[in-house]
Amino acid sequence: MLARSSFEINRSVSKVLWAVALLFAITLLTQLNQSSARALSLSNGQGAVNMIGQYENELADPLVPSYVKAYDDNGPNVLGIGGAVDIAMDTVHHRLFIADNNSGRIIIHNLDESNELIDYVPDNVLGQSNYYDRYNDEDPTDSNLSFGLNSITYDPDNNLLFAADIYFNRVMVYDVASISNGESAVYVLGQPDFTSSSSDTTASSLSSPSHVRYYRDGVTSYIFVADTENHRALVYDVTTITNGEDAAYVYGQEDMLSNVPEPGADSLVFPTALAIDSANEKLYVGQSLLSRVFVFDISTLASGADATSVLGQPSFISEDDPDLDINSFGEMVNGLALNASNTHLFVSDSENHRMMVFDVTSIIDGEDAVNVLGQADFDTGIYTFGASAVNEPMGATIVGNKLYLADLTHDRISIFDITSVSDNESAIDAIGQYSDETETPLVPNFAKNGNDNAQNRLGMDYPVAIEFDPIRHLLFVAEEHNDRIIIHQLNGANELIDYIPDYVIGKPDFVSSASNDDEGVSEELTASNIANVSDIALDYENGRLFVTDADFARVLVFDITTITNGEDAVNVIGAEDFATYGYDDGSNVDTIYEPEGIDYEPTEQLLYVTDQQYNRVMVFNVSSITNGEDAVAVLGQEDFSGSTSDESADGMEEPLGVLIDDDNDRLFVADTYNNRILVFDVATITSGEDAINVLGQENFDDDGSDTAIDGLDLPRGMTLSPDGDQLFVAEEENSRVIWYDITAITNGEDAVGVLGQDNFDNKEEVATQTSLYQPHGLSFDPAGRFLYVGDSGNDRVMIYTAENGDSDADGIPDSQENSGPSSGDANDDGILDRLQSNVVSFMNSVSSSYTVLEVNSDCAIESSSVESESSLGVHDGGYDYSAGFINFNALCTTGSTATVSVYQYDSDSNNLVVRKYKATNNSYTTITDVTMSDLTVDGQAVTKAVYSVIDGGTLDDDGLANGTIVDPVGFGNSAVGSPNTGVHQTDLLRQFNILWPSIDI
Amino acid sequence: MAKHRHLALRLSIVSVVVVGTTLLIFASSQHHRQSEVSKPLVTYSTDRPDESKENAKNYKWRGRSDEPKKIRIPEIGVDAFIQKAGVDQNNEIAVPDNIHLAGWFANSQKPGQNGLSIIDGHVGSSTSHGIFSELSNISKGDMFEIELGNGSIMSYKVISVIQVPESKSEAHLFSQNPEVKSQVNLITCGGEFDKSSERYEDRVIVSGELVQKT
Repeated sequence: MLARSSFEINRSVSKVLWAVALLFAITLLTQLNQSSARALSLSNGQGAVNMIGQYENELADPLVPSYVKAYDDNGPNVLGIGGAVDIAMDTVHHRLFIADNNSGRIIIHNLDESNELIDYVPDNVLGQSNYYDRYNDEDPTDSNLSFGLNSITYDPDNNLLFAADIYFNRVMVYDVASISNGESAVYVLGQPDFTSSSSDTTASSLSSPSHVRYYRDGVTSYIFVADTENHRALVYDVTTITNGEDAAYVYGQEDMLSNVPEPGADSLVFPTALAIDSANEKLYVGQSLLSRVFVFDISTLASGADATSVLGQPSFISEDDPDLDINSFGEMVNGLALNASNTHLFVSDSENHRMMVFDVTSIIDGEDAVNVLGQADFDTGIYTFGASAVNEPMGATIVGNKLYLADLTHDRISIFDITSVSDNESAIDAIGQYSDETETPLVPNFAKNGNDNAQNRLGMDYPVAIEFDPIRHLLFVAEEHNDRIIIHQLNGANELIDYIPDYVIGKPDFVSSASNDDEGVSEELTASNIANVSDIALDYENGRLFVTDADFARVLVFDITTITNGEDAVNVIGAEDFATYGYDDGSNVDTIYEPEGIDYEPTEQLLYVTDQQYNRVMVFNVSSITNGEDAVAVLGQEDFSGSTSDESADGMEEPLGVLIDDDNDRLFVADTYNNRILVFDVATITSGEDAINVLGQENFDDDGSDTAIDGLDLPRGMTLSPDGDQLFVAEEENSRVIWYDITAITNGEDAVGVLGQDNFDNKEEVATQTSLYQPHGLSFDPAGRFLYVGDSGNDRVMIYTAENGDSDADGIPDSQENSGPSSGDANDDGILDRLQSNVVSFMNSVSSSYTVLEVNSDCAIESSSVESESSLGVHDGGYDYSAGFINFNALCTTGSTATVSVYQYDSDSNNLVVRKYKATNNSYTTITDVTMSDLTVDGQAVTKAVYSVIDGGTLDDDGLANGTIVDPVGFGNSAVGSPNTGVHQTDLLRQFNILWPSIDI
Repeated sequence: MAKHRHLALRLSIVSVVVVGTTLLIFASSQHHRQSEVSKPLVTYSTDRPDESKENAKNYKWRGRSDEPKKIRIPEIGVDAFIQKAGVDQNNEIAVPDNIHLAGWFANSQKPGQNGLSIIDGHVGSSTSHGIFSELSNISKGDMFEIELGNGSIMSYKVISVIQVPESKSEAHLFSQNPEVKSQVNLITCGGEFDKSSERYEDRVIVSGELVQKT
């Protein structure tokens, strides 16, 4: 064999080298093309940077999330009504007033000159300072209304609005000549002042006043008040008003100190509604419990006067049971209204969901009604839906030929044309329920009945599960209480485009809740309707969405390759078909009595579903699905017939969450009521196998709950960190998310981080930017940059930045600010630094101590950094800077003056001056107008310097009045003293020089 | 004519000797004077600087081409060499070892560069007025110039004249007006002489803004 020539050898070597290089390049490119497992930087108690589900104003563009709202379906809001109870109209200044007791507010619509609605958007609000606040158990003030708000009436002669508040036992009087949102009332009746609320039986007190109506007699203005618990109607002279003044007259009792209901024409029993015929000087008083209306002659007001007629009962003393008939009412009479000619009285028969219409031209006691609204006839009193429905009618007012009716259960004002009344006629318009709050124009929707315009497009109700489809760029959020899954189309980077969901599954549209039938609220068993979703799982490769539907004991499988609102599922697991309840068959191989947690394993196409009722996890092969197919394995029970609960290594108690770790063949089960996470080896699955590890408990025999670093309390949803090294667990009862290092698991190990609480021992249930309340599901976005958490109790999805979280966007990661002195409040102002955009605190790399920079609260620090003096353009020969120079940019109002405070830890102010460096001319300047002080914070010595910088002024480095203040500043310690340029002189010589200063020797 | 000049010269010398001797009788100090040749860089501040104008006039300046060589302040009759000054034994800017020399603090910028340059000078000695004895008489708007080693002239306009207590003087001495690109601060002593500390109570600082380079 000939020896190979050196050229050939070299070629061989060259080939090898090329091959190695090519292999390296391929490897490198492969690494680059893989989605990088980003290093997480979540810090304890970190605040969310975004949120879906709660907004201040649903009509605003852009929408602004509100971290202090936490009500289902984005309530309260601008458009919705939470509890419609009464209406008043100002026909002179063209305004419509609506009393909404769920929020404790009155919303005001401006009308056109014909007193018709201009639009559906209110113009003002009273009782609350804005449209997204509601009464929350506060004490009475001079402006607030409670959920006891029940009636309103307008005084056109004095431009006053009277509001009866049952809960505070008072009538508030607002000056509505001009209205500012949330303005204070000017007077109060029934109480001596605005902060009192006790009930009593006197001339000046009230007890659950439920209705008010205005009456003008000649030159005197009166307010009639149905003082319900005192069984009387009081009449106040409001020509001039004094807080807590005495009523002038009382009807229904013999005097102002009596409150006993007795049979008779002069006695009232639980009066709850009023109407006044000014022309004919008649007072109508509706009374609940005895289900009747008394009619009084008020041509001359007189305390204790007898009624002249009665409706709903055959006589003044009869007490026939409430009835459903042509001449009787149900138990609650909550509203009365007279038509314009005072010939017909409309009576809100709340219990029977109807309005009875009586001809009152001349009244025969106990006469029949002539018409009915809300029901087909007088023998029917059912809860219905639609434009003709009148469910729990409350207060009403009639202007011209329009009846405005507060429909409490439908949370709307229905508007009827009563030019000629037909039984069960449809309303012609409505306020408070709309098909889509994001569209213009708004369209009233008579099929909706949720308070605050729920269900709607923007709000949520108890979001419990979150999934991403990275291929189709979709975000799925399952809402347990709305029984639906809303879907957001994301951009190519799988980021939110906006806050408006694009699709909905489980309901036909965004406004539907449960299906409506004659029995009231119930769910239909169909292929498209979801009755109770707890979790979802995604097979994005094959475009399948798996949904637990617990109330129907089944898992629905939807095709999401294309999505249509309310589409049918394509398969069902746990039930034979879409028309069968799954749990009818008992515990066996093909049923899931109460499916809760669910996850999909793509390698072998297995579906894991927890069955809460049977204390197990069912495993299905879903490579191809046959409806009602058998499971292939079970965990938590020995076999498919078992259902007992246990806290052993192979037992479970009501597991509610499940998560597959496909890379490591591990299955995590949230064994919820054992307050633990079980870890199974699922490389091969044996039914009934033991778990291999446990978290939240020291061993498999314990099940106690705890609020601690190593404890759990009702764990629910789980997700893995993008690199798979950490397990995130949402705990319902601890209202937090904690995470564990699972690279190697030790039973009962400590968690390493917490969100939603400040620390592992804390459990607060509030709505803030850093809090969680009963979180359930969670997921990282496909890029691993953000963690989405279903903050179920606060009806929102919180979004946390997972990379160097910076809650206040001041350029300093939360982790640094959290680590600062005084438990992350290094400037010791009582507010965590990570939540203040005008404060940055960080470890100073030059001094190795903390430095805090603070500007006034109407500025925000955009960026900050530290550099040593030696790195600057020129050395300062006179000063040393042991803490370097702090550079910062602050955004303030253009031309404004910022107050800058610099705190340097491990420092004292002795011999320190504050110096400024300007790079453009290499200048150092001592800032002379500085206040220096020495503090002790968290036991540490701190030097604080405070000075001012004018935007565009001398100390603003960019020299421009542009709203940005640029200021490099440092604490200088004198390094070199001034020269001693005057040497010793004798007295004589000094005198000589003074006398002959010009003579030099 | 040469004879007369020589005679006049001899008479002048005698006069100087007589007057100088007379003054020596009034001097109470036992210290001897510095009489050696001034150094290129002074790092020791003597309390008996050389008072010889001749020595100052004949100072052998040694420095780089971009370092300050001479200073001229017409308003107060200053025209002198600039000695390089470091940090002295008291951790203060060293003072020239001749009262008729100015001192450039070598840890400051060079005149003409962006930044702050510091030049000190004696107000006087035990027997004589120093180079900056009249510094406090300068006014805003007056001009002075500094010649560099390469002959280029840096012309400055006075922008401020202040007299501050010594304890506050560093803050002003080492401060540059943020609006000024290139600044020189001249400093000397002022105010009353405190016998107990044997130091002047104040410092006079004159700031000049570079307005021209030639």
